[in-house]
Amino acid sequence: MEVKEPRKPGGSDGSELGETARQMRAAQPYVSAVWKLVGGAVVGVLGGYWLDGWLGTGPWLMVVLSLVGICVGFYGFLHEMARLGKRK
Amino acid sequence: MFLPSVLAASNLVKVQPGLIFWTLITFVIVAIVLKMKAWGPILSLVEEREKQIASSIESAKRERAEAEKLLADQKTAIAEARREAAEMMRRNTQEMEKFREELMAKSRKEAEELKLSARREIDEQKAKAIAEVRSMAVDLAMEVAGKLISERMDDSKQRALAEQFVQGLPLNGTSATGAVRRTA
Amino acid sequence: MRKAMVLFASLFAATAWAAGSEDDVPGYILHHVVDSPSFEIEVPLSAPIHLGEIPPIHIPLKADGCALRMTDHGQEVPGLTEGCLDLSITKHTVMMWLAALLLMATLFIWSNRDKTKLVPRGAGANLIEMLVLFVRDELAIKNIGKEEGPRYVPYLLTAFFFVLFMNLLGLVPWMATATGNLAVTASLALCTFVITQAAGIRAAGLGGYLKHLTGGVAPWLWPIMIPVEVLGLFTKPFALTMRLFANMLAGHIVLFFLLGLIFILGHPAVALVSVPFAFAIYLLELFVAFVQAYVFTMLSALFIGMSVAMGHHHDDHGHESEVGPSHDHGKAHHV
Repeated sequence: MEVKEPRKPGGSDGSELGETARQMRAAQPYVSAVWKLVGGAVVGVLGGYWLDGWLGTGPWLMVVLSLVGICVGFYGFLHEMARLGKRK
Repeated sequence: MFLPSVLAASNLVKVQPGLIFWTLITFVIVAIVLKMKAWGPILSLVEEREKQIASSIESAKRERAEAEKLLADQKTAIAEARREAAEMMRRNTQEMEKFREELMAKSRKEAEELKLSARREIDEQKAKAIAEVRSMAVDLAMEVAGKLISERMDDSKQRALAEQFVQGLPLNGTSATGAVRRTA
Repeated sequence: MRKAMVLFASLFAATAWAAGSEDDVPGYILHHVVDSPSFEIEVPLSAPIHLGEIPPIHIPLKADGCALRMTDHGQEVPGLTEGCLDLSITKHTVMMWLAALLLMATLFIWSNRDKTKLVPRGAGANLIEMLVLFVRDELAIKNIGKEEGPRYVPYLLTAFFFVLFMNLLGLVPWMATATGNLAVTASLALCTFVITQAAGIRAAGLGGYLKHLTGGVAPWLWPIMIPVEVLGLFTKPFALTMRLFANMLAGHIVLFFLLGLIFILGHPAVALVSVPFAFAIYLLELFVAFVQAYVFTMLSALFIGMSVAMGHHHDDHGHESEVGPSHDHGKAHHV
C-alpha cells in the first residue's frame, strides 16, 4: 500500500484543533492497532462460544476460534504497526 | 433487608427498549425543530455579526489608512507651498536687486552721457569761440596794419599777408596774443 | 439566606423521613433513581401522592407475545427477546419530554429576538448565545476542525442542551434524572455513533469507509477482522453511554444515601450532618450537570473529528479517484 504524507482534512492545517483532539488523532492508529490485538481474541472467544451453543459442538469451536482469533489479532496488530512504522 | 434490594439493583442497568425508542424519537424531533427554529437563526445571526465586525474593523483600517494618506498628502502640499513661497520671495528679492542695479547703471550711464555731451558742447563752443576770436584777430590785425602802413596797400595782398601771419599764430590764445604782440 | 437553607434542609429531611419510613434505605434510593411506570409526588410529613399510571403500550412482535406472566416479583411484561415491545410511557420518558419541551420553550423565548439587531439583549439571550458560541468554537472547531466543524454544530448543540436540560431537570424536586437511565444515554450515544459513522463515510467515501472496516489485511482474514473492527466502532459510544449514565446516577445515589443515613443510623441528629452534606452534594450536582453535558458533547465532537480525520487519512492510500467527490462538499447542507 502506497503511503504518503498524510494530508490534513479539508485543506486546513489543523492549527485550530485543541490539544486533546490533536493527541487523540495522533494516538488513534495505535489504539486501533492494539484493539485489533485484543478484539481478535474477544471475537474469537465470543464467536466460538456462540457457535458452540448454536451447533452444540461442545467447547471445541470456542477453543479453535479463540486460537484463530488471537492469531489473526496478533497478525493484524503487527501488520498495522509495520505500516505505522513505515510512515515515519 | 439488603438482598432483595441488590437484586432489584439489576433494574439500574436494565435497558428498556421502549425508552430507547422514545429517546431516539424525541431527540430526532428536538434536533430537527431546534435546527430549524433556533440554531439556524442564532448561528446565522452570530455569523452575520462576526462578518459585520470583521468588515467594520477592515473598513476602519482602510479609512484610517486613507486618512493617513490624506494627511501625508496635505503635509506634502503644505511643504510644497511653503517651499514655493520661499522660492518666490527669494526670486523677488533677486529681481528687485537686479532692477535696482539696472536702474543704477542706467542712471549712471545717462549721467555719463550727459557729461559727455556737455563736454562736446563746451568743446564746440570753445572751437567756435576760438575761430571767432581768430577772425576777429585777423580783422583787427588788418585794421591795425592798414593804419600802420598808412593805408595804401593792395587790399587782397595785405589780407593774405595778415592771414599768413595769423596762421602763424599759435592756436593757444595766450601765445596768439603774444604773437600778436610780437608782430606788433 | 441562612433561613432559606434551614428551611430547605428541613424539607429534605422531612421528605426523606416520609419516604424512608419503610426502613428500606436501598429500596428508597433505588425507588428514586430507577425508572418506573407510576408517577407520584412526595409531600413532606405525609404519604406520597400517587398520580396514577399512563396506560402501558405493549406491541406484541409475535402472537400473544405480550401476555403478562407471573414471576416472584409479581406480574411481569416479557422482554423484547421474548416477543414484546414495551413502549410504555414511564417516569423517565415523561422527564425527557418535559426537558425537551422546556428546552424548546427556552430557546424560542430567548432566541426569537429582533433580527435586525445583531447583539443579544438580556441575560437569557446572552447566556444562550454564550453557550452556543462555546459549543461552536471550543467543541466543534477545536475537535473537528475549521472546515468540517461547522457542519456538526447543530447536532452538537442539540446534544449539549438536551443532556443539560435533562440533567438539570433531575435536580428539581419531585423530578427524575432521565440521563441516569442507561436506555437514554445509550440512545444518545447511538445518535452520536450514527453521526460519527456518517461523518466517516462523508470524509472517506463509502469505499474508503468499508476498506477501513477490513482492517487492511488480506481478504481471507476478513471474517475475523471485520467483526473486530465493527466491535471496535462500538467501544466509543459505549464509553459515552457509561460515562454519562454513571456520573448522573452516582451523584443522585450519593445524595439519597446521605439522606438515607438518617434512617440507617436511626437518629434524627444525623440529619444535622447529613443534610448539609446532601445540600453540598446537590450544589456539586448542579455543576456536574453542566460538566457532564459538556463532556458528552466534547467526546461526541472528538469522535466525529477522529472519524473525519481517519476518512481524510484514508484518502492518502492512493485512491485519488475517490478524493475528488468526497472533497466536493459545500458548506450549505448541514447535518
